Amino acid sequence: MDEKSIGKTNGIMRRTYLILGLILAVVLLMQFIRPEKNLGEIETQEDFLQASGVPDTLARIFLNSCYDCHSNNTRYPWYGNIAPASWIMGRHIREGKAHLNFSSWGIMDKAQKISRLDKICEECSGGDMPLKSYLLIHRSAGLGPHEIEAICTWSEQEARAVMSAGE
Amino acid sequence: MKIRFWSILPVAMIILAAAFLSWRDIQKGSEIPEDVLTILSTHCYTCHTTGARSEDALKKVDFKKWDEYNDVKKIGILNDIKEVAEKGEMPPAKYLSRNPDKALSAEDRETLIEWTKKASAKLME
Repeated sequence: MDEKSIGKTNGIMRRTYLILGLILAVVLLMQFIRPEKNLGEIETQEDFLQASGVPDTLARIFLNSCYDCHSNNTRYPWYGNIAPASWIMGRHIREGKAHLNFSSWGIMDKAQKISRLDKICEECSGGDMPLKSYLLIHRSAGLGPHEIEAICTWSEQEARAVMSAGE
Repeated sequence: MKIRFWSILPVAMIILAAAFLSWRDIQKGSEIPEDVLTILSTHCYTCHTTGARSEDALKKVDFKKWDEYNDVKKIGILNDIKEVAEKGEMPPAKYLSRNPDKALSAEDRETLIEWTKKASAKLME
């Protein structure tokens, strides 16, 4: 190799290190922005599991497939602290809870409960929930046809019960 | 020219009759009061009646099918209307940027919210 091409290789190396260093710096800086963790209580009187008449078999499904984003308590994976994974999770949880928070079931009015019960069946049977991206990592959260049928049968029955119940 | 006019007339009449019948369908039978209907038809029907382009919007609610929904579904939709009216989520901001005249006034929202409360209470009687 002549001197000229050695100089050229050094230039490329230097540039590569610079870019890698910059990426590393950005990733490190990203870690300083941390969404608030969702680590509240779910064993409360207001929680769906207590406040509704959901049977144990279904309660287990809801806990396993829905509660990470639709309650006050998320079971975080090991990378739950690392940005950008933590950001994506934070957004899913925030949006999930805005639509339905099982932890505040007890303080919803009748219409809100009926609306949620109707949508629970709709989202599950339409394949919209659990989210595809969630299922990629949580294989066991997937719902089979029998589970979906059980959810829909129960939620419709519960909606009727809420409808005819007194205040 | 004359012949052509007379051949178009029956077609035109059928179209008009169909339009009238479907319009009357939306109006009659629904327990939706007049003032609410006016708001819904002005601000919501573009996307939320049969024939609209967005499948997603129709899946949420198709006002043309209101009478076909069962009570649970109706209460669910009424609750959705109440929530989006309260939060100002509908019509969507993206749509409003192109159609600013479609925005709901505070008064419109109040009318909708009051109606949803009354209507769902009635359904739960």
